[in-house]
Amino acid sequence: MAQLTLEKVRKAYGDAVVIPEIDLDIRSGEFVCLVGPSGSGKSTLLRMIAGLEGITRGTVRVDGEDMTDVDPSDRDMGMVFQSYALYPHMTVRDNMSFALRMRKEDPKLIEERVAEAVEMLDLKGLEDRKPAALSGGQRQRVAMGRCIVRKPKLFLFDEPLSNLDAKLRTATRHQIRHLHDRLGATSIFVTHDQVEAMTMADRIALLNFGEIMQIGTPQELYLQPQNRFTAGFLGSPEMNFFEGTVSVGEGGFVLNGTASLFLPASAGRLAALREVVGTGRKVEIGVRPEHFDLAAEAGADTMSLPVAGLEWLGHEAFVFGHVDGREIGVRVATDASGASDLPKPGSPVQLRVVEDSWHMFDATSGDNLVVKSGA
Amino acid sequence: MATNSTRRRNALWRIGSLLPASLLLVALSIYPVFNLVGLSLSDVEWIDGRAHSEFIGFANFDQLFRHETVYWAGVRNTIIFAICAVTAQMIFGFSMALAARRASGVTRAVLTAVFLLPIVMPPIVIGAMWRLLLGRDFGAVNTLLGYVGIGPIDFLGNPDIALASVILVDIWHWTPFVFLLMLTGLESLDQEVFEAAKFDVRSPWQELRYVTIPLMVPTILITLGLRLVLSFKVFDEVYLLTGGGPGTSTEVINFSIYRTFFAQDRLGVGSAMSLLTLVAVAVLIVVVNLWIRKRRSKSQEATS
Repeated sequence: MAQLTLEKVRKAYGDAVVIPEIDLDIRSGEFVCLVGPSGSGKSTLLRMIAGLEGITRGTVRVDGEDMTDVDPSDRDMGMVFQSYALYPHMTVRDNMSFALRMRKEDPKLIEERVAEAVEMLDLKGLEDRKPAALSGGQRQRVAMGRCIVRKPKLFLFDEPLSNLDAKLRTATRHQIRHLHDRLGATSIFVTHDQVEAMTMADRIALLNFGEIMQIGTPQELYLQPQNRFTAGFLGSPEMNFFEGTVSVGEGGFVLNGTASLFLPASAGRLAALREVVGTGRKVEIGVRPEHFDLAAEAGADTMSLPVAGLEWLGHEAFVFGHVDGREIGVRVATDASGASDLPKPGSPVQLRVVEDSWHMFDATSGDNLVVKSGA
Repeated sequence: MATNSTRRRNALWRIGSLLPASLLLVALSIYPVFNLVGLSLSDVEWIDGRAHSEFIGFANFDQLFRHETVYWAGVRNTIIFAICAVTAQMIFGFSMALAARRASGVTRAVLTAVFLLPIVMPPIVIGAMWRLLLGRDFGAVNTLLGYVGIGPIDFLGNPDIALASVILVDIWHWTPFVFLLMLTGLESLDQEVFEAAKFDVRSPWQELRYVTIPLMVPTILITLGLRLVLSFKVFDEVYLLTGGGPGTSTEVINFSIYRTFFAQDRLGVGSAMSLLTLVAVAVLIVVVNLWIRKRRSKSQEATS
């Protein structure tokens, strides 16, 4: 249990700035995911917290104590690596107890802690095996066990699930989150997989080019993205974007641009955005696939989408098509009867945007004008 | 039917492709060994420019075991030489590899180049250079020692320290070889394991003792075996530095053989010496090989 603070932390390799400046506060007991595309600096940030990577400027504090220049072994953190990095010449037991043995802890205590971790991680019977004789999932659990036995202040995870197959990944996701809660730990989890972040995190910090684009709960990031990057990064299939200028219409806004689109809005949102829109500035409208309704017939408030492809996933289906050269994805509900009532590829469907569920981003700054105006 | 002719063609191809190497092996390795065995059991004399050999059984070996004290001094020296030189080379080479691994960029390039310098020098240059450096009257080392009031020390002429001097030169010559193999070995290890170790160990010593060395065991064993076998073949350094003297203080096996065979023209006894050495080195190779294989299968249990 510990609280971590990053103050104006910067990382540069010579002239190449990886992280310009980051402030981050992680509360005790929190599970925070650092997410971002590759090259966003999320792993570097984690390694700076761990002490594996030097810090160009700024301060790392754990429970208020300055850790910036402290050696990794004295930071009281445990890290799970992407390749697990187990000691190949040691048995599972020796791998787990290594740090404690190096600290000359009481052998009885070591044995207790290891037994506890083995129990918790379901590794019973494997204590005397070497890592080579373990499956990927087992290795991953041993790597976690190596951290757990030390009862560290902070758990650091560097994409620990990316080497597992999809099914195991889902199960391990739950297991890690469960362990975190059970231990009352503070965890930082780096991943490029938004699903991992959404399902595990108390808060997500979304990084791009070494800057935090948004930090908040998964719900905040998904429902109220502060900028176009966040909106586009989270969600699968991706949010649909339409560029253009917006004018006020009857019961909503009208987008005039690559595609004409009617955006139904409540009175509150109409009022809040009216001024923004009036200036005629270029915007991008974002609509998630699930925020389209299928209309029975074409009207003034609908957009026609020629169906090019269909993905049926059982509990839902996605329809894909192109409007003005841009791919649009739309989620449609499925029912028990199967695929019979779904749109057919080749024929158009009529789409209507759900009221107030769209976003408007400034075309240059990328700010979400809806969130900014408080609508 | 087609399979039959295909099989025949495959067999032809197999035999054809193995033939050149087999012939070379027979001509250059197997025949000379048999020839050596024959020579070691004969008394060879040169009469009218032609060799007359006469079968004399084990008389040469009898001579070798009873009377050739110089050869046995050489055996003793060679064993001392191999153990001391190889031990020092392993320790220095490993330390230098650890140092070079930590360095980065230009430092590393310069360090590696400097470390590797001795191994690219021809042995003749090394011999000449060290003779000049270690000379009693005009040697640079003695000049330097003179400044601090020590010496002069007759590095190559004093029977008590001549062997140590030769060992020193061999260490200087062959440490880079160990360094190179060790560095390659270190770099092929999973670097993430060392990052993980940074969290676990309390001191660099612990990292070395519990992580680095255990992971390097396969490389260490192979290098050790290689150096041990190679050091039994030492000749050039001794020939160039001391010529086996003073007395028998730096006599090594190969030097005895060389002298007996070529200088004294005693082909039979020389062959017996060669054969004995050959068998000893062969046994050493087999033992080292078995040992490495055992260790490797043990560590393979661990890693595969």
